[in-house]
Amino acid sequence: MAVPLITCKDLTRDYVNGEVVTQALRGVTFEIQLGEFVAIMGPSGSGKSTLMHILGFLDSFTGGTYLFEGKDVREFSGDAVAKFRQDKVGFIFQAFNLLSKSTVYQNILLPLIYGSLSVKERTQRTEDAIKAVSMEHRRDHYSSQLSGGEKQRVAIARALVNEPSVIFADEPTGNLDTKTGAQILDLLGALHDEGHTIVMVTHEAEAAQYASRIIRMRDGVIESDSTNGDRRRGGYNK
Amino acid sequence: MRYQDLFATATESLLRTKSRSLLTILGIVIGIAAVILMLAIGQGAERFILSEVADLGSDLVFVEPASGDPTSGPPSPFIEQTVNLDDLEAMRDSGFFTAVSSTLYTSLPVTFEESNEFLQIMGTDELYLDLFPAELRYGSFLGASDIESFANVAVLGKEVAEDFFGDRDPVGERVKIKSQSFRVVGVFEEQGSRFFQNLDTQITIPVTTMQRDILGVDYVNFISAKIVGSDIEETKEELRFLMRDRHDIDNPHGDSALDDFFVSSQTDATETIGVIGSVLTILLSSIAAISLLVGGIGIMNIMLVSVTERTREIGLRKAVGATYKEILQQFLVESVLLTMFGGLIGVLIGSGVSWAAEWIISTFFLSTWSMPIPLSAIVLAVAVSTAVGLLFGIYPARSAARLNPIEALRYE
Repeated sequence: MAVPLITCKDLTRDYVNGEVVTQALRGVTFEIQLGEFVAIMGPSGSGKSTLMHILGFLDSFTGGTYLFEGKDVREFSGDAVAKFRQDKVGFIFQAFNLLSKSTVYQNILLPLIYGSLSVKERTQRTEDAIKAVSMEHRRDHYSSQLSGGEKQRVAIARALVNEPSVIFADEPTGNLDTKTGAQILDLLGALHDEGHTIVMVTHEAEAAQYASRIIRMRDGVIESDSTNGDRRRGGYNK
Repeated sequence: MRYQDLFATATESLLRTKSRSLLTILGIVIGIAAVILMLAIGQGAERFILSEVADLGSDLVFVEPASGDPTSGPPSPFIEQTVNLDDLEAMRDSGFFTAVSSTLYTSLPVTFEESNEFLQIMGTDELYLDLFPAELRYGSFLGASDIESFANVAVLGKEVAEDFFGDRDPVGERVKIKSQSFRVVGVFEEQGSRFFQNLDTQITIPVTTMQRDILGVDYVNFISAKIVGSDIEETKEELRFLMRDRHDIDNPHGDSALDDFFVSSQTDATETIGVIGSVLTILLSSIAAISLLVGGIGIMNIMLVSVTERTREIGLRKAVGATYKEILQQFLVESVLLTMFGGLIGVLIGSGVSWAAEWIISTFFLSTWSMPIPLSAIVLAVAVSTAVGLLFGIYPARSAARLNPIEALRYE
């Protein structure tokens, strides 16, 4: 069997605030294979967001090991971590985090300006990403002029543009109404069908149904980890 | 990250807050404009002063009375007048000089028929033109016999002649100085000013006549001489020996504080002016430096505000792969672009004001005033403003680059 994309063993994370030590993760062990669509569920304070930040190289961990594509992440630091974020992962946030005074095109291009692609290549990739989320008609609009659903589609395109090994989505439907949220989840499902690996943090059971595997967390440990055989597929037509 | 992207990103950020960017650089604009203006004024003043002495030959020496202080300036009533025509004769006999001439000044009312003007009168001798060449428009200059015979003759400056006689040739006319009648023998062509005296509004008469009949004195204000050969320092030293000998001064060690005279040359004058110019420049530059410091602190302040406002943007950039260095560079480039642009606007405004000042001064006050803006000042101004941006941009840029991406993304 191939090397798993993500391997975590006894992962812990303590937050020290003065004398008080908060244990956000108390020993988490799991693997994620290439091509999976994993939903991490749990109530707030369960450690799911902390876990996702660690997996996405945005946060450090206190104990245990984290191997990404078989490489020990602890050995990387500073610029190497930035390079990992640039090449290997894409992020989708609950609050979209678009640059409001930049156009759709500029927002999607953003990750590539920190890379080393030629101008021609990155233009091509950006155009492809815009098409992948069906936002061609809004290409030169400022992101502040978009609806919530459109914003999240732009954010998804931005997460896709660097062709990452894995896309992390942090409550991607949290700021959207049910109908728009369903469209976004459909889009993520479609991306999964194309072979993208997706890790999504959510507290909505509805949203988790789109994933192929559901990890439930509580109080910093994994409560259950099961395959979702009956994964939901929407009629989203991209 | 490519440099084009770096500059494009920084420029976009600055243009997004156009009016704030402009207000931010105002301090730098004023600072740099002040630097340019100050340097131009300093340069203009130095140039003006130098032009007053520069057309004196570099082979001229001057002897004037002095009372112990070697730095004493031009002749004044408080200095004992110790230089006279006997000194002049001794210098002529010494063989060190090709020409020696005396000068005595006073100011008196001069009348021709009904018109009356208060003018500067210069007493000198026939060798004056050998030392300070000038063209005559009408007639001729004073002759040796005029000096010997205490003649009542006068040579008029161009403006004096025009004021009294209009355009006609006044040779042979008579003007009155202190109730004595002087016959006009010549009129100068336009001469401009020298030693801060407008030569065109001056009347020249024999020094002997002026001593005996007008002032009743036996001294002169200074003696000018043109040296033989080219070693001016050597000749000045010989002249000092000659003067000490004549004035019975026992001064074996050459201590100028003991002398009752002062020997100088054009080189001394230009050196002194150079020193004054440097001091002036240092003074003006430090004032400008303070304004740039204040401007720089303004930049730092606004950049810190900008970093705080854009915390989420910084978090996002880090999340999509920006390194510490790339964030640092982006904010540094922003502050440097701000100050560099401010510097350029400052150069434009400073140059504009300098040109206006030059025009006003040369049109209404000093016709020979010119105020070139030194290229070095422009280069310096842009370099300094860039350096200010770098220096004061480092702290905000570092605080941006050090942000933790998670906390930055959560920042409200």
